[in-house]
Amino acid sequence: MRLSVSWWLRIAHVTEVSYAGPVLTSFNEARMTPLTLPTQTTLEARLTVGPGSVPVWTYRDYWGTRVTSFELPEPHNHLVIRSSATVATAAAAAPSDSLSWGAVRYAVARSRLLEFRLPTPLTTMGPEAVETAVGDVSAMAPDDAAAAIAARVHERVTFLPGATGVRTGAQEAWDKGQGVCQDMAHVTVALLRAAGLPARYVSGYLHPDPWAEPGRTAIGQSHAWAEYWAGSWSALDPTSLAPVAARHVIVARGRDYNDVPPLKGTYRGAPERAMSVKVELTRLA
Amino acid sequence: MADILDAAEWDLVSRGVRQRVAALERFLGDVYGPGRVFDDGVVPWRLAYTSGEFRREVAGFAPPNGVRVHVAATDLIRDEQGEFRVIEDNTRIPSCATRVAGFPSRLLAALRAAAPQGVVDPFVVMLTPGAAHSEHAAYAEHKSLARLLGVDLVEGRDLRCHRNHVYAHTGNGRCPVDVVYRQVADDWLDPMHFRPESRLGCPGLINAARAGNVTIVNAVGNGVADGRLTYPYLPDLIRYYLGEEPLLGNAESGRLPWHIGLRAFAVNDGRDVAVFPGGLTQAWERCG
Repeated sequence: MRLSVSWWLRIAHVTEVSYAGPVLTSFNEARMTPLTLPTQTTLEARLTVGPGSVPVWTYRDYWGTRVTSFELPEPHNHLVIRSSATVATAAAAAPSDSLSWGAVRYAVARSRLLEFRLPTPLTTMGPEAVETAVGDVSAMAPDDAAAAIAARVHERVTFLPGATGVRTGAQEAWDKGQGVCQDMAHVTVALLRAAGLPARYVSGYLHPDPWAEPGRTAIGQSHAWAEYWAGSWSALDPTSLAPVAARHVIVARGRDYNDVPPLKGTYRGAPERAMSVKVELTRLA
Repeated sequence: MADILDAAEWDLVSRGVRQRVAALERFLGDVYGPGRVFDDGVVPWRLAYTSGEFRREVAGFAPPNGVRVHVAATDLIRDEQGEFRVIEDNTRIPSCATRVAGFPSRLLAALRAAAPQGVVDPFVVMLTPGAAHSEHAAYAEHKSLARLLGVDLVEGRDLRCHRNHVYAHTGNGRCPVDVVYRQVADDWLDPMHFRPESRLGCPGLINAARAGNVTIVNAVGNGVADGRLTYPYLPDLIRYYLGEEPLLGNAESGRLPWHIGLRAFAVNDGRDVAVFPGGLTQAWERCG
């Protein structure tokens, strides 16, 4: 029997937004609380909003994400959101026997899986890019095809912060050949779907160090990767190409980024001046 | 109306519309709830997933009295055999330009019946996009219907959400709102969840409805039930949900006779669906 490689991770995620002048009637939603799943248990989670002590309200959305909603009715010049959580993660379960392409197609046409098989505006790619990237994968087994797609995305799209924005779609990132984890996840999801597999976009965190010592804090960041279905759901991280396991913490899953943004909101007043995000990850055990 | 249809025909039309609205209501409850109709293969999942009107933002919570279609308009025509057939349902924002006796009081009763749990004397407002964002005739209609219902006509800027409650700032000061009878389309209703640039609605409205503190009439997301994609399934939905044969058939596409049509309004207060004749429509113009 294999030892189950489990980590306890402490996440401290602080988002600070400052505005060029006073802002009022600000309504926001944060999607920052890790999920509890067979491979992951959220032991404790807390989200607070300032300045002052802003009341928060939570609900679970269509995708199963824990959403924290809050409003700031009084004029303010800055906003700070502190999300913290302790999560026990585990190595991903060994994949079960995967289905043939035909069996996947059959299952998808008759179930909720279809929702993850259809393209969205952020995960639509043109026929040329699809032909180049996945034209030959139908000759492979679905799991091998998915791994090949992640490897090709990793090779094609160079990690370069600032090259793209939150609204950049898969096609644009592919053409540019540059982007961040969000872009690589979008391109991977788009190509998995184009190849015939249901795929979803995952938002979460990645501890940067596979050999992290317990008790030492590392600077991390929000992360994104992809999952696909070929009889059961499996995960791929096209940015790191590392196995998705104990270092990955899942916060939300959807069709693309727009279903799972860590923070979204609307307000009246001065434009945003700066936003800073700090994520600290500490392996506890 | 006597030369258009006789009493027996109206009886059939009103029973048929009532049946149709009951099926649409059950369908919407299913779409935003368990999704049985898809799992059972009656309607393909593709219908919801490819519909721009399927609003995932309102999935998973039910309106206080269970009603999503408080007021509906159904357009019918006579076919070549003289039978009435349905050409279109409107479960979103039907223009209620009818002055048939009993309709406004019934509509007001349905609006009040939709109020959140525990509200004894609900405060109902009618939300209009306003004169600048409506067609002239539509805005005149909003003003006159609000007067007829005896409810305040408000615009987005008159509403404020605070801690999942909605307040109207009217001539009488700040009043907590229980029911929003809206003439604003889903996309413009809450910039937090839909179009961020919208000023026609009120940020926080959807979460106030989710918290059960306000009821939006008609419910958000009803467009998934009355679109061209759902229409062909209506006879099957009636059989599936109600275990009945449809009293009114669909019109066969491409075979629409050159005939004046009839509009019927249905008002659902959660206990009963009342059907009112809504006047004549020019069916050939609507269907091309």
